[in-house]
Amino acid sequence: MDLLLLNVMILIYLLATLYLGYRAWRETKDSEGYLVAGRKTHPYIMAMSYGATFISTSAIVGFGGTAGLFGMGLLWLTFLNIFVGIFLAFVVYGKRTRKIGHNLHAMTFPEFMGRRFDSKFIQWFSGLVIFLGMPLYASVVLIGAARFMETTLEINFDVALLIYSVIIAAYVIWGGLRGVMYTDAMQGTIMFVGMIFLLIMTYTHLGGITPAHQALTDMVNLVPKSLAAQGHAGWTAMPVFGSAWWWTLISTIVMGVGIGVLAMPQLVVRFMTVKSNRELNRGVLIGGIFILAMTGVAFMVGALSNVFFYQTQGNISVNIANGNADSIIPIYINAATPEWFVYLFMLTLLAAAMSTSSSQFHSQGSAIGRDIYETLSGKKGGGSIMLTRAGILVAVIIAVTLGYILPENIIARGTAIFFGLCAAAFLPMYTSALYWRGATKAGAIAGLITGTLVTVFWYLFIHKAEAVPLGVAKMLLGRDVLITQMPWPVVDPIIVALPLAVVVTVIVSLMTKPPSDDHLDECFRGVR
Amino acid sequence: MLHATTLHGHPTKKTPGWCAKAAREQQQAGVSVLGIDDPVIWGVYLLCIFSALLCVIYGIVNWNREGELEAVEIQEEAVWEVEEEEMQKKELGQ
Repeated sequence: MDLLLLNVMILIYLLATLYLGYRAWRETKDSEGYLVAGRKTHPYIMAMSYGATFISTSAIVGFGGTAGLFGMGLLWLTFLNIFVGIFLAFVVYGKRTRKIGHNLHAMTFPEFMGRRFDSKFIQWFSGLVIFLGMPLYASVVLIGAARFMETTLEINFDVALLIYSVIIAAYVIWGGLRGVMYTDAMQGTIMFVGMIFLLIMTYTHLGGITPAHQALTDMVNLVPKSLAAQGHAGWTAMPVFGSAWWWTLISTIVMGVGIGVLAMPQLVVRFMTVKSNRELNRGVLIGGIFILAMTGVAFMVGALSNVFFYQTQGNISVNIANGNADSIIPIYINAATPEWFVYLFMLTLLAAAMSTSSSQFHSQGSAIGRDIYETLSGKKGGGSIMLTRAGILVAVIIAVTLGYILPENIIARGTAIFFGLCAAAFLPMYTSALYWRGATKAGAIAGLITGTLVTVFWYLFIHKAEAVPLGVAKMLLGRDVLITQMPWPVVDPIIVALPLAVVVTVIVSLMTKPPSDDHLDECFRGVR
Repeated sequence: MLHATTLHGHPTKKTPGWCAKAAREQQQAGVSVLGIDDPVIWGVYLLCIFSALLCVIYGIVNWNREGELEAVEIQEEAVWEVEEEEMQKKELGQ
């Protein structure tokens, strides 16, 4: 480790951040200025800032490492990230969310839903789902950052997690750097350049695109027997159809995360703060390229790291990482790239994780203060401020504690659980809120409860990966899972919970009285 | 070496014969594109690039669309920004 180089890079990075922060602050001193600056914001800045928030350590370190284990099948997630997470999210969901959100003066996702369906229950229940579900996701983002520090700085993981947690707590309590899009855009730009550099370096090192892929294809015989037994068919092949490995890849990783992104509360909120539909149109262009360069490259490099490690160290990635997929990307970047790049990448990754973590903790805090306390008590102001702050503190403590107790190989799975829960609980209600005037309060509530409960039930009693460690099924039924016959123990909840929630939302809506025309006209005012 | 516990979180079991056989069958037949034999994988490799291109084309075609109501929207957003700022002050004390 070159301490001098590391310190110089930290200094340059901080100076650049401070300069951009100062520049943004000068341009946005008052609300008028804020508005004009927002209007003038170049779509590049807007889309890069969105991308830096969307992509965190979880996507690059967690899912990149998962690609080192599963192979290129993960590219299906990249496809969904681009097509669903950018194209559909911006064009089909973003524009209406922005307009209806403005009409309803909504600040949070639960508030948007609560006002659209005129239901306090929806608001506080959604807030509760976010507050209880998000700590897992927040925690795996922390773990991703700590894993990178562990490898790069050559320190113990527990120490890395502690250092990072202290930094993040100070950052969140200090108030974060909300609204400073320039710094986000800088992070996004460095990430973009860094990932392109990483891809070129990887392909060059391995002799070009086709030879690199061919070398990986030829490694099929090196798949460990234990993985082949579960359906792993090589790193450039899909897992065997219907095998445990296939179900995990398709149902948990690809579907859960690929579709769940549409209903992520902290991303939905961003559409409400976008200045106009035109910015969303322009954002699609930059976002599409950005995500391809982020997750596309991370998954390609993750898979190809097997060739690199086999050629240089005679072993496959997951073995080099001692069985922990979460460490594959940090080890690969440390081994395959120049030292200055490793430090730059680490700083960018940590900064990106900080903006994601900060928004996660704020979402949880406002879920407790605004969506749960205010809605249930009917009081505003004093008490809810205290509760919001207390909620943020509790969220930080829970996330850090989880960071210490969660097992290895958790980043991708932890992310997928939260994304899947959001998809099943919120997506039917959110979609019908935007597009179906006939959707009723009762229908939305029924769908929300169905999606949430089926997901929770599935994790506790059916999906083996969670049911076994949680132990509830064992305690109540005396066995690990309710259904042992394949493929059910490996089928992700989203496959069952989301369709059920859709059906329930539609049927109950058709059976109950639609909202008044006045309310609907107010919601859809100006929607084209 | 690889730990007994995998991403699934549960211990691995003995190889079911059908898995190995199906894996072999899956590897056979078909053309190799960019060094990848499985059409589902090279297909999605290209699909990722095409979907990013779709985003680029959409962005270019609609670069200046939906900005015609700017005056109305600025007015609307001005009110909204002020309200949001007040709410944030009230809620978060920030």
